[in-house]
Amino acid sequence: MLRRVIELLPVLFLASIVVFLLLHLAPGDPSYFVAGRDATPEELEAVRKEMGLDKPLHVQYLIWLREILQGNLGESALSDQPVSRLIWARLPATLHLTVAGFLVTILLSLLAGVPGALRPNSKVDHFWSAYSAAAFGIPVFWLGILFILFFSVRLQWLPPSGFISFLEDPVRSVQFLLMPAFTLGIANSGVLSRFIKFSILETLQQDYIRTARSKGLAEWVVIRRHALGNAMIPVVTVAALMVGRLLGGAVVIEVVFAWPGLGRLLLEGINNRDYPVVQATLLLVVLIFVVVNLVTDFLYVYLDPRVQLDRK
Amino acid sequence: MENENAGRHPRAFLERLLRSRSGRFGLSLVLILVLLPLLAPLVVPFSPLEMNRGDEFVPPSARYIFGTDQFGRDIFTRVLYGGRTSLLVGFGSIGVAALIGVGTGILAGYVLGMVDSAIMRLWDVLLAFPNIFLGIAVVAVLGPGQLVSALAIAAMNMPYFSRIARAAVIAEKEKEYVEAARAMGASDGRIVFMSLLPNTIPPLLAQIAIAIPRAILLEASLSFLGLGTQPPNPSWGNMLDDSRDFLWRAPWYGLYPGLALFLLVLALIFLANAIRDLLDPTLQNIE
Repeated sequence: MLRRVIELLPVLFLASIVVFLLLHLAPGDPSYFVAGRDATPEELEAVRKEMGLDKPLHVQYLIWLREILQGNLGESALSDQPVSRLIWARLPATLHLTVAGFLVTILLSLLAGVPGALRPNSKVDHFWSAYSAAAFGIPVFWLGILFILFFSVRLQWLPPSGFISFLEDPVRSVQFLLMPAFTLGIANSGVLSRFIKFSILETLQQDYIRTARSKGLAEWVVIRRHALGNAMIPVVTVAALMVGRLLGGAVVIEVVFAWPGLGRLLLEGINNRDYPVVQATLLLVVLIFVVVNLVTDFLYVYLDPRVQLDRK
Repeated sequence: MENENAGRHPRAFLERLLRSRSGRFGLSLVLILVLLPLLAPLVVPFSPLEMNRGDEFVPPSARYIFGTDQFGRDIFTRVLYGGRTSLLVGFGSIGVAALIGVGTGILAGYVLGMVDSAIMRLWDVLLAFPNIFLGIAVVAVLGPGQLVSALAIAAMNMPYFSRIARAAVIAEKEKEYVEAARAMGASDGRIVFMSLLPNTIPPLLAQIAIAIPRAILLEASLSFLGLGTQPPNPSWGNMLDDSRDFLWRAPWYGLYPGLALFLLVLALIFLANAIRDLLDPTLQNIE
């Protein structure tokens, strides 16, 4: 296990170099972006000094890394606010969206994956297979637009945009959340439901299922007690994939529903060439993704004692 | 054995593809959705940038079958030309990704050692950026645009091709026929091209088939975010982005570009599944 953690360090290290270099590979002098568009030459010079741009590149990187590790993500070039404060302000909206989206993903994936596995080639199976294929292929932003067209424009049931914290006003919060969360959930359930289905199908062919059946257990006991639990173990391995898709989907969905989250912060950062914001958000995403990958591996070992990481 | 040869005999492969239902469905829909954009100038009377003054926001009608947008541009025309963008970026970026990925993968698997480690670490770093974020990072450096987004999509796909080619080479290179070729004095180049490369084809074909619809979705996503193809040039992504401001006035604008994208991606996925089943029925590609 320790080996897996150690293996990740160079990846994180290299990824941090990539993120650091974003600022320096971009055409133009970085001080220009940080100092702002209307900076005087004197101000530019001051910023260059302050940012240490007169030092060699590797020294700059080490300084940057030291600051990041100490929690100092720099200041937004646009608003002069600390980037950490900007991220902190946007985090709740993204958390609402990804958590709700995750719940909907799980719900729909089980709904679409389990019945087809228990009755292969039945009508139920065909229906949910078609659903999975459609959910897998549908562009997430178009699904969001369709929801707005139907539920906001046509039926006028749900607000097309807006956000309020669940803690502040649960009812309105859910109203705002419904369409974005289902957009995210449907799009992700295409992959997960198929994975769940195939995992159950495979589990049902195992010897211990035959044993359970042959000792006379009722079919639903076999399925509930022996098959479903074991079938969910490999499903955990796609969790990392899911988180990547949730985060990526969240960026697009935040744009569709004007959701004030991290994804829009990142895009605003890119449009304004606000590199400290872009760097910090990207670094955060990479960190979350890599850590989730690691946790997934550990969880897999924990759930299935037959798997050992270091034996590879 | 039959399956292993599937990638090498295009004609027999096509015949078997057409025997499967999802293969037939996917291929015919893909053909339609590829031909229409390619033949666009013959199909529609408008040009994609042509503004018809006085005809702003016309609902779908005989003259404008998908309606018009805020500049009176024919949406059907723009959907067809947007399809060219999707196809060009989708096929182009995956072509580049496959070329570079396979090249580096064969190199890594053949020489192993330091070169192998270096190449594989590079891919690990790219894969550390989940989903669309590598594309966003590339655009952050190079600025938005069609070529940049295509490059980003290519970069996101290289690791997969490289890993597949590397694994195939490592698996094949200790086999007797390679030993024999080497004993007969074949050069490294000859061994790679005549013996190793053909064996990487089936898994690579399956990967190419599934990577193309994903690339098309990504191109649309990046364009939707304003990072890919820039207006006024049409792409399904930037049209949908544009449509959001007019959902109440012109709901059709938000409908048709997305429908085209959805159909093309779905058809390509069906085709990819059929190809995968033919090449290796045991493979279960989940993404």
